Amino acid sequence: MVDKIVKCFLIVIACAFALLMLGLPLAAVATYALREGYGVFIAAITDPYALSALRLTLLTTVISVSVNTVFGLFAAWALTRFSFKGRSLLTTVMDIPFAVSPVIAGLVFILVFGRIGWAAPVLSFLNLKIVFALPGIVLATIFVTFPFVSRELIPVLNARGVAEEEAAALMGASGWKIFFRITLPHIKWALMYGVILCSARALGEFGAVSVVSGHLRGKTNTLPLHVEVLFGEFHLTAAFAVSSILMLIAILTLILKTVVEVKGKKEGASAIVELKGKNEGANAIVELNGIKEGSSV
Amino acid sequence: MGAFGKRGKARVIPGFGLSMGITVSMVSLIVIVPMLSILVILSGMSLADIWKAATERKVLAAYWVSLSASFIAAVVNSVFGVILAWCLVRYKFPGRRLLDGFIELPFALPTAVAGIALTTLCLPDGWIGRLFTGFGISISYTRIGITVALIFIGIPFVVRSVQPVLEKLGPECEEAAQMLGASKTRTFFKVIFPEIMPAALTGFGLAFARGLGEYGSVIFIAGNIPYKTQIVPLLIMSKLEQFNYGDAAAIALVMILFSFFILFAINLAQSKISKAEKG
Amino acid sequence: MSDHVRLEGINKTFGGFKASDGVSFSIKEGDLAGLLGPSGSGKTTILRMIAGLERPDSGDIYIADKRVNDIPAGKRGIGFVFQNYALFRYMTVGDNIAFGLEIQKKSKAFIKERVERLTKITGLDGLLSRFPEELSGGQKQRVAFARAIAPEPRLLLLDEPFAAIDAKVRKELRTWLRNTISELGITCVFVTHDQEEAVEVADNIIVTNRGKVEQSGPPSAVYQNPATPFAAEFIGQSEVITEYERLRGFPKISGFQSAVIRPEFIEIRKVGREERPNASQSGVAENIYFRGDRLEIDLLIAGMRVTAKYSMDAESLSPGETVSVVVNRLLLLGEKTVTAQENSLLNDANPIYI
Repeated sequence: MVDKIVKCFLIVIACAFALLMLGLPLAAVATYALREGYGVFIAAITDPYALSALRLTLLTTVISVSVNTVFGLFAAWALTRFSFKGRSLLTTVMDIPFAVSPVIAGLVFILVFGRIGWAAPVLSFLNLKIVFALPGIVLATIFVTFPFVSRELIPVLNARGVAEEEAAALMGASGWKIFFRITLPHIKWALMYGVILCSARALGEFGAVSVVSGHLRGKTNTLPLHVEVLFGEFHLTAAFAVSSILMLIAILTLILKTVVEVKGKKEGASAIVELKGKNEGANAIVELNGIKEGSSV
Repeated sequence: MGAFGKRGKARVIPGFGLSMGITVSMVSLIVIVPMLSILVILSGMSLADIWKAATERKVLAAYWVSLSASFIAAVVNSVFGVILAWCLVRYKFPGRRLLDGFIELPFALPTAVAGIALTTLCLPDGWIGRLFTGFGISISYTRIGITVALIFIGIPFVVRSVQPVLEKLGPECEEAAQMLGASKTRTFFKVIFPEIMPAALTGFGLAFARGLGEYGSVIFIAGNIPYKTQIVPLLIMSKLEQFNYGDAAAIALVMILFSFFILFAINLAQSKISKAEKG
Repeated sequence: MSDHVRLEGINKTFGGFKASDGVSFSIKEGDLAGLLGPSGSGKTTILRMIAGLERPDSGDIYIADKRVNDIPAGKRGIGFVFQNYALFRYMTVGDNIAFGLEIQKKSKAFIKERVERLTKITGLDGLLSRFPEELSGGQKQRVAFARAIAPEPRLLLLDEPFAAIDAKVRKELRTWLRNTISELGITCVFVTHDQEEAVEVADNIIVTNRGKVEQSGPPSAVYQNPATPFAAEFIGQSEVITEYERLRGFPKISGFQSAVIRPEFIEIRKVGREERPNASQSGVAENIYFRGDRLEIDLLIAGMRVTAKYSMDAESLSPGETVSVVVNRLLLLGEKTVTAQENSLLNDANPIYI
């Protein structure tokens, strides 16, 4: 009896908290987006500035996710298939983007490529514009989403060991052949998981992009920045209309993520369970990698 | 690359040179060089200037706002995070799967969207703000608002840290303790709590560190009132808008040190706990 | 026949740990050799160095009289069966076996024919489209074996090939492996910590300890005439006793501080049934264990506790019974040498050695 009361009590608390903190904001976005009717909603999301922001956001996401996926695959290969000096240091450095504020992520690129940045003379000589332009936005996004893919792959690969790859190499298989025939089938769900998380973050990145974008409407405004501008100008309904698009993408992400998780668990249950217990060790940030999703984003 | 590395370890699997080359150059290009530029710009300033920039009264106030709000948010998240994880792992109830899936909403939802949604909710005429104005409490443009935003973005950390530990723990331990005559509360505090403590601590540390750096969800609700609701990232932002790059870098460095210190402290505490448990 | 594999003065350290310390030995063409030693003795390291998975710090490895130190693992043409098989999890049994042939760019028809033949040899018919997860331990082992020999290597290396298989299947698989390998006529080196396995399967065993080769030779020779104290202690059901001079018929020999005694050296008889009373001394059968085909006895003799065996057919003993014991033989251990010592009283009285 007491058990039942405790159980109900805890569930009520948990659900109330979740409803208040997670459910209400979603409901607010949906309500405010539609409060002036569909006409205003459609107008807000088909506004040329909104569309150009959407285009820029998608372009940035595609580029940065591709770069980080390729990087993540190579990094995971290097860090798990070989042992070398400085491996844990490299892992730690790779995780720095998680530990710093997005504003700092933007700041460092200003310090490199901005007006007073040490790379500024080179850039002006080459007539290249990085900060307050697409390259800067892409670079900042790559920075904040840098470890997303690799950190999903590394534990899976570590848990599995190198025996299969060694066996294939002993038979004379090339690196590409080993990767595509043996490694990739094993990590495909983890890879997809990482790509999904990476995309979600890239789509929604605000702080870092805000620093390097320069807020040029129709040029360097991403969708989240567009939301900020609209909100700042008291176009509440428009801000929420654009937000609702981002919210739908977020919900879609969560669904996809869950599907991938379930599929991956079915196929490689043992690997995922193993990796949860495995902490790499001494280093602060490396240690924190032990939790699968906890530290993501 | 030859078949063997320097230390006589056979590199049987191909691709060491290529993968290491790409990894190291990308890490250098994207992370190391940009991060070092903070030190580069600081090296052009005198120590006194750096100190002044990092300890200005307005800046000190911002540290305090950021630290206190993040800390409180992380504590709140620890309590509710453990409860949430417990319910998700141990109880079956309608909507459990949905709740489980939505825990990561703060990761998936762009922070700006979260920011404007929370702000609108907490404004004096918003759904939540309305309830509090009657008591003379305002949430938006106060530290309470900042804390609310930081609670939102920190929810997943504790839950997702504790959940796998609870799953691994299974009900056997509790059952064993109960067989020995321990009461439910005793079992929880003596058997379960020590098990999930390190994970909860990790989640707390991550939420705390994340809260310190958070920008998007906070700026709308914070109102950016100097000495009162100005958080450190916002301060860096305004320094940048004034093209005061040196000051921005100095404050950024302090922030980075704060985050590393938190992560390091948590790590230390964790290893202490696990040592105490083992020995 | 000539040497197929030859190691000369191999040294290898991991950090501060000396895994190989001046290892030299050779294996003849067509031989089935067992590297035997306790865990940590460096036997797996030796195998991995032959395969090219590790590189020796110094020393040379020759395969078919060619120095292979600088040839990468994939180019040595060696078949390797990993301890946990390392089967490709996301490939079917058929694809696993065909993988090495695919790498060699053999024709489809050739691969198909060869895979079919190998499945016949290994008894895997009907399992070709299964995935490794759906196989039993013994089946996995056979797949690993088939995959390793598919590209027709001249040399096959097996790392603890039976370690992960349960006891009953293991025996069967050992016999099968032995027969198959001798049919194929390839040279084969396997690593094991199980002396019974080594003795049963190998033509020659190489006993390793602390990174050194203690002794090599045919199992019977190593068993009967161990060359080093380690080999004497490690092989057989050996127990070390220090005060061996308290056993009748074994005077203390200087330089030999202790001795190895094995159950088969001890002969137990009921009191009053002694055949050679002059060599007998009394002992106590403290505990008696049933071991299927025989009885094993914890024997207390001259204040020392040793293990002896007793025939099931002989007159029954009860625990705690005083018995008459003759020790026929001991292996006396010197600093670095071993001497087989017969019971001196027996030799005088009875010329027939048992």
